[in-house]
Amino acid sequence: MDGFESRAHDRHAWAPPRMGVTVERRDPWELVSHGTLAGLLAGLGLGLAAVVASTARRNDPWLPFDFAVAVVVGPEALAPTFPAAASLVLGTVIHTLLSVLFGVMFLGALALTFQLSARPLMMLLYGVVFAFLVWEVNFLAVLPVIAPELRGRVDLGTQLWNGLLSYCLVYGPLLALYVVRVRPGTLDRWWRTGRADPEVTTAENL
Amino acid sequence: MDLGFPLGIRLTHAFNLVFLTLLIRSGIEILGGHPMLYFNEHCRPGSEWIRFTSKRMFRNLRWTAEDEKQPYTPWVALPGRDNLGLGRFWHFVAVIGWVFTGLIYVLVLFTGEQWRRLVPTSPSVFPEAWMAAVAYLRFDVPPAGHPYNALQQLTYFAVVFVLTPLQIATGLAMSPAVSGRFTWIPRLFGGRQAARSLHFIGLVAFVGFVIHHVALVVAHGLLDGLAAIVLGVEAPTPEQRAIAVAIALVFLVALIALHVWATRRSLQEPRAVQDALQRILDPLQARLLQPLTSRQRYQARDITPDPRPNGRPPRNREYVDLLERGFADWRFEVGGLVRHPLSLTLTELRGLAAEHQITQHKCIQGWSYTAAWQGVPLRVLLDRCQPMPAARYILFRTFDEKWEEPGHGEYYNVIDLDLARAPQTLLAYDMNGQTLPTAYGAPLRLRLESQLGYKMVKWIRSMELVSRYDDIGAGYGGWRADRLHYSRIAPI
Repeated sequence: MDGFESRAHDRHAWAPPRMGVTVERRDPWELVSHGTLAGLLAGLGLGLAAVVASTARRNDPWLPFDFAVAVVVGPEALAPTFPAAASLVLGTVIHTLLSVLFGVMFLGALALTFQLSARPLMMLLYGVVFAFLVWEVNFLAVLPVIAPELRGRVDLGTQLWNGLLSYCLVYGPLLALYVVRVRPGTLDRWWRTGRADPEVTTAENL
Repeated sequence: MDLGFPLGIRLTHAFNLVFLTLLIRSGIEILGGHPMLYFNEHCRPGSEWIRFTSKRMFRNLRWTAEDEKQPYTPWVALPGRDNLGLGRFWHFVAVIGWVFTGLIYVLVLFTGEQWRRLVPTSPSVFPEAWMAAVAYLRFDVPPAGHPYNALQQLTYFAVVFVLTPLQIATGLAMSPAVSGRFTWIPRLFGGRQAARSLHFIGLVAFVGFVIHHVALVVAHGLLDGLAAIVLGVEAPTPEQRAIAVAIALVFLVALIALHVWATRRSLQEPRAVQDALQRILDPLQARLLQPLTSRQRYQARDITPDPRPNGRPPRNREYVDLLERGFADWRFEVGGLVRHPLSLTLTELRGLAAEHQITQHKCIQGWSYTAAWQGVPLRVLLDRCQPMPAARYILFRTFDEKWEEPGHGEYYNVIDLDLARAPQTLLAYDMNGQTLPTAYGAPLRLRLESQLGYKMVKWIRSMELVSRYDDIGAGYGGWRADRLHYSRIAPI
């Protein structure tokens, strides 16, 4: 009953009501800048994974770029006559912009739900779930609306490796890993319970 | 097979959205009462698997569970800004509406052919569901089924017949009256805290389902989907599509207006909202849950090593003097509508027939702990003082001046006389084999094991039998009911 003894006979000073050690802060600039960096890192990983998968499976490293471009210019981007250089530049720009956008959204969602300081494994789970939602909303809801011509033109293997799996196994986990390593907005790792607090000044009347 | 969407399905779909959104927002408000979730029964700080708060508690200062609350914005929570009492009222009223809507929905399903939408009748549904998933993965839309494709059918079946009952059962498992009377219910889920965690995961699953559902409705064709669920038309004309969109937009605007009204009214006129919702809820609680008596039998090994204290002990001169003298001068006064008023010292109380019990304390905020209590059953005192026929309630007055919230009066509580005679209702003077520590209510506290913790007053001064309570405090039957809009009765 050591715990009970210490609680029952606690002689520490009282903390101010409703106060605690702040573990997270929400600084918009910090969220945007780190969201951008996380998005760039995860987007780079996703792009590499897509190119490697496409090269290995179809011997076509350009396909992921063509698909990214097709979102904007339509199915003609998938035609063999579409210039490879344009596909490379435009595809990279579009992919990067979307990666950064979703990276910022990920950081924003974490901050809004007080999850910037989440346990590392939970953060990994958040990354995977977020990436799945991005994939689902983008490819199942948005893409059919803005590029209906792409419906049914993608074989299962491509969609699995270049789509769902690369999102859930590369993009999301990389976003999460960035947050776990850098911990933007995190002031205290609350699950490390052995650490002592900094000195706290209490209100005079307490 | 063209089953269409009959009016009953369309209306219950709409009402489901109304009640589900109310449930989600008020559920978030309740979560803010203790924004940590556990898969253990002791709720030790740091042992939570997930938390939704910007702070952790001090390690070198004293704090109580109330300090852990996290106010949420009214943009998300109903009503927001740390209104646990009203959030619970909204949640439970919405539960009634949601369950009623669900029962009508199931009735419509099974009184016609509509059940074929959701209930798989062949094992082939699994390979067919895989084929449908493959089609979605290829950005394609699988062919319509009967009328749903197999993946849709399995998903809807799981939501209606697995997830929904699970939410109701885990919700009930958190009720002190239900879990105290039927102790196997929380055990089904691994305990009250696991049930609370599963209840939250169910909420996330519902939100995830809504996102998934909307995404796939868009993938299948938003306008045709709207025409089907709004007008019940399967092959709509352009005019019908336009009408369906207009009705859907009006409905969404009305839904948002309802939420805005409920939130603003709760924040601006909390007492009026409490009065209105309490009139709906309390008779139901009193009839269905209040009669359930606690039969908890925990073991010594279940006792929580370091239970959370709640509430700051009194520090007025009278209490401090009594405490310094070991409560030797303290007398427990029993009066009001009784034939034989009592005035008992702690030693005299200890001389009465004592009972011992190991029970789980369930706080309204969401946390819990298990402890051993010893004290005198309240029914023993009632037999001695002999209440008059007019007595209906017991008023407990305390030494707790709520010094951390000056100007809000002394803590008091009113309980029903029937509850006082229930098994496991004690006035406890020992906790975990020791004299009741100050932090947990010395010299005497109430144990009312079928109710939430806030009904179990600590630092008791006296008890008084009364016929009414509307002339005490603000008239709502307790300090928290008066100030924080909690319910007077707390079986859930």
